[in-house]
Amino acid sequence: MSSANSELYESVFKLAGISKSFDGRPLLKNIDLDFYPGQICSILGENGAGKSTLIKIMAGILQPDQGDIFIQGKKVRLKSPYLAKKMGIHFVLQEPHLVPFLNVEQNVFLGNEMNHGLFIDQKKHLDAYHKVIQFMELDIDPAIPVSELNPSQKMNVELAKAIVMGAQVLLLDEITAPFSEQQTKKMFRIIKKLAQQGVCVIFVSHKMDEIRDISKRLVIIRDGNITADIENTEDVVSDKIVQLMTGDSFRNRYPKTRAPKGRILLEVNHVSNTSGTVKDIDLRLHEGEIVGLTGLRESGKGTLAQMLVGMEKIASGTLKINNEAVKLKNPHEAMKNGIVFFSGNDTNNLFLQKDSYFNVTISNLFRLAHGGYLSPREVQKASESYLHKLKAEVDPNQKVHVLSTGNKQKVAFSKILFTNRKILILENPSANLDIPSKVELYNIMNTLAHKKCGILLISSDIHELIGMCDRIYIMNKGQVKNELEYDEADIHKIFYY
Amino acid sequence: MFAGQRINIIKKILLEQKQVDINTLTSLLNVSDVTVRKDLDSLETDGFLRKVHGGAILLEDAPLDIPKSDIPDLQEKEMIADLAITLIDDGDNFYLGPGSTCLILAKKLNQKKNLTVITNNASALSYIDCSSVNLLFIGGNVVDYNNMMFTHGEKALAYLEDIFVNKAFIGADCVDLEAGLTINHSYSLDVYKKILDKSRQTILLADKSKFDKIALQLLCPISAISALVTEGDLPEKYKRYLYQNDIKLLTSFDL
Repeated sequence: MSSANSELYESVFKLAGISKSFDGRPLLKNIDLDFYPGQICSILGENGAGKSTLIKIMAGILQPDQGDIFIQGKKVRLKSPYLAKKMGIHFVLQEPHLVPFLNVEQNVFLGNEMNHGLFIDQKKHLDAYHKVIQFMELDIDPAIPVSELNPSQKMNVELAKAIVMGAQVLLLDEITAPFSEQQTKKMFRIIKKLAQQGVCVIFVSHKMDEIRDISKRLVIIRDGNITADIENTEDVVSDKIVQLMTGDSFRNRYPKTRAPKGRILLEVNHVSNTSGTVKDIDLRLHEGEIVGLTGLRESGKGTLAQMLVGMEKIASGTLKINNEAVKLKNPHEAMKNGIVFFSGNDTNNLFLQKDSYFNVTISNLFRLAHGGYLSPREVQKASESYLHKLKAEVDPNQKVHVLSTGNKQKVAFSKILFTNRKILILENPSANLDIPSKVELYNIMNTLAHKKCGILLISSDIHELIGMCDRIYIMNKGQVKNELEYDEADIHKIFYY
Repeated sequence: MFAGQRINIIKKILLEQKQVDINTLTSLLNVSDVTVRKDLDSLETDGFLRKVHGGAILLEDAPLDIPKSDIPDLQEKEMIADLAITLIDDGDNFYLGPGSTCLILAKKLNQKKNLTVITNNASALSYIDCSSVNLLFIGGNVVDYNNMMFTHGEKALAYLEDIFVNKAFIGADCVDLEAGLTINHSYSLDVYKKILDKSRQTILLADKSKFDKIALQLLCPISAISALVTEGDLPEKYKRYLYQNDIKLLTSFDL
């Protein structure tokens, strides 16, 4: 959807194929945008949607990984904000960059003093100054230092400065935050005047009601993508804008429903490993909860998981299961104490050369053995029952290595469920699964939570974490840096704790 | 075993033997006595039995529950309703549609607090405790379809003009990926269509047997719903479509 202006004017500022990633995670994906002189365009998006990254690239503060920027049709590299300013792109933050002890006039003309020979031409200065001041509706005593101005006045000075410097594009990043309603109204009036003079104004905000007052054109950014470029906001209903803006990180597709939170199942206090790659961890898991554990590479999350199932030693701190302190020497002891571990990454949770009857029951045979006797019939019934419960379409007589990934996963999961433990530690359980299998897996997890199990979900899939977890622990360099509740969790907070 | 199945068994025993004791039930059903007591509580609320020390006795004028034969796929619908109730929060407000699945859901609403329910499902009315639920009934032309009574028509639509709900639980006769949600008789169509506009989230309750079938009249495309609750295993194409379109698919697992 391009603006009606495109037929009449050439774009003053153009982004083509702009992409940016951070540590392997895409923040902006292939952004194409055109901005026109005299147009006010709002950019709306939630925190973490990518708007700050986009603005910073447009201001020359960040460099894109891919893509090009054009000013007046000419390809440019905005290597720094200074360079961007020179090309007419002015970035205005909430906190204006003014020299506090200088007065208004000095700040406005800083670097742009009008010279007459070696001296500043006072008369010319004052004339120009009055013109600008009038335009900006700034009735401030030019002599007072700017440190004495209120935020709204400071902002006006900053804008005046930009005008004097010949700004063609103004990037306004959430500037109205400190303003009163009156001040905001006045600011908007001035911005509209600027646009009428031919300045292109790009107004970034997360407040939907504001943008309707200031602009007709609205660009909505979500998850690093432009989800909408609306010519006239009057044509779009608020609810639709909210939908385009939030989309909840595709949260709705996850079959997660709130289960009653019961007693505490697993508690870890000040736990560290021997080498120190995991340090001083506090963590809790209750009945009914799905708790996420995540972090970037080398965060220690994998090692922590191993410590919870007895695969790595807990050098200091306590691990309590059902309120009793335990020391786990190996996974078998972990299981005896109520914890099972499942990794979606490898198939070494299965004996590939054996059939499903073997694989499902092998970890917990004593459950079927009565008086030292293990009935093959019991083994059969139990395996079939669990495979049926998980809706696995599997011939239990077949060796499991011939099964599809999804079905192998179900056999492995049947094994976990057969142990009847309440604490499940799942590491990347959805890795390698196709969509239908994922949907099944998530439904199984949700059902288990409702059956009073506690699940610790270790994953790097942000959407999965946001969709499925009641709480998320975020680790970095061996420590827990942040803990987010379901209602707080979003992409930005998980990346930039 | 699901709560619904247990309840049916308890009822059967009561109808045959007129009385039942908790110990027998716990060993028969293989659940704890806490669970059995909850089931008995639920049946007492329904007016089916009276609890006594150690058990319960059948109430002689117990309202004959809808005979099994009258509701097809009763077990499946119970499972769906058990799942659907988890989508309802305390204090929620929602529309409950006509039909048997929504009726079964209505019976479970006592599990939540402070609900506001608006419905045109006349058959469900007697199962909702209106002293604890803020219940609004949509008046209109009454129709009896498949032994389920509900209202529709001009008056019903007028009632809905000023209404706005957070959620809407609806059913459909058939669901098809391309064709959408379809209905055989147009009676429920008018109210449903209005509700779709007035509801923030639309939740479809449909058992597996309804899928990949097309009925006479179109209600809406699948993309119009927010969530789908079913009991069985749907064909992969549905799981794929719903996931990719950010629509919740809740299915049951007997774990």
